[in-house]
Amino acid sequence: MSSNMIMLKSSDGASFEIEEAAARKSKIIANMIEVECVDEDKAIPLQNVTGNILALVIEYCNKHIVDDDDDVATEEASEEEEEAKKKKVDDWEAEFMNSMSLETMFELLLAANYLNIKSLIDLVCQTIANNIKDKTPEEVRKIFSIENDFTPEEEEEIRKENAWAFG
Amino acid sequence: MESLLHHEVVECILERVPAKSLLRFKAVSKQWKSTIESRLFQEKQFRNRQESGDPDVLMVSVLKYEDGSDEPDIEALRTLVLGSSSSVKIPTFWEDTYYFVCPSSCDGLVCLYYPVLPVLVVNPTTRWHRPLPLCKFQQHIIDLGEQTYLDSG
Repeated sequence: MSSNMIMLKSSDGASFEIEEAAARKSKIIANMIEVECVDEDKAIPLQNVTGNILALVIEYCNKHIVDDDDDVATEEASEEEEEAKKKKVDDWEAEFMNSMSLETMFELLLAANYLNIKSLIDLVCQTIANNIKDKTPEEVRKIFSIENDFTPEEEEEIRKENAWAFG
Repeated sequence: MESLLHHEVVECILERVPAKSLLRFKAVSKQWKSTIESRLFQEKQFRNRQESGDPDVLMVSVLKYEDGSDEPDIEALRTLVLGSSSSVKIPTFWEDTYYFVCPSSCDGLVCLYYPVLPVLVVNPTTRWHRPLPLCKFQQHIIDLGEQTYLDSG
């Protein structure tokens, strides 16, 4: 594949140059390229993604396109090498997510969902899941801005039914 | 701004949360409760947890005679994690009753049985359980007397 560069433009007007191969990680952009909606010298506008979030998305895509190329180049790689490579990617992803606030994770998840990048959706969902799994219902409501629509009696009933899980 | 998260995306997150947390999160809101209780969601969550490479567990019941005592120490249900020394006692309401545990499980459910007691179907993850009515064969054993049955091997 040629290393064509394409331009992406965030909702707040920032422009980013990205390799076509990396941009294809997004199913939405890949589709646009297929149907030749992409004008060589015009940026693709992404209405729902701000510049700081788009920068993260691009960082992720760039990192993973390199890994995909490696896979092709070393088909007969030994199991050990495969494992080492997987560990390297896992470490990078852990580091990548570690530096983020929950708020940023939510925005990144929205962007990944909008751009349809399956592996990034999986990564962010798993990180948020790990983050909330030990929290109380009150804390979760606050994080997700959810209003409690149970009556005190209904809530008490749920707590009683599953008392061991609240311990 | 997080409320902008579509519920569909929230479901993606919840599919990756362990069952014990989900039982607790049923108290978050009506929408979360109905999602967590839906069959489709539970199937997806089950698949995700299987793929996450959590260790296999073995369910056993324990019957111990300490120091030759005639009164055994009974635990109806305990999980052993394969390849590790950790083990968890799952409290049951039928304490001090000995059951056999079926060696295989079906969709995460295990079956506890004893010749003269109602068979119990248990979900060890959520602690849900249901007794089944006695089958004809069990009724027959009870009529004969348990000891007769045990003596005949």
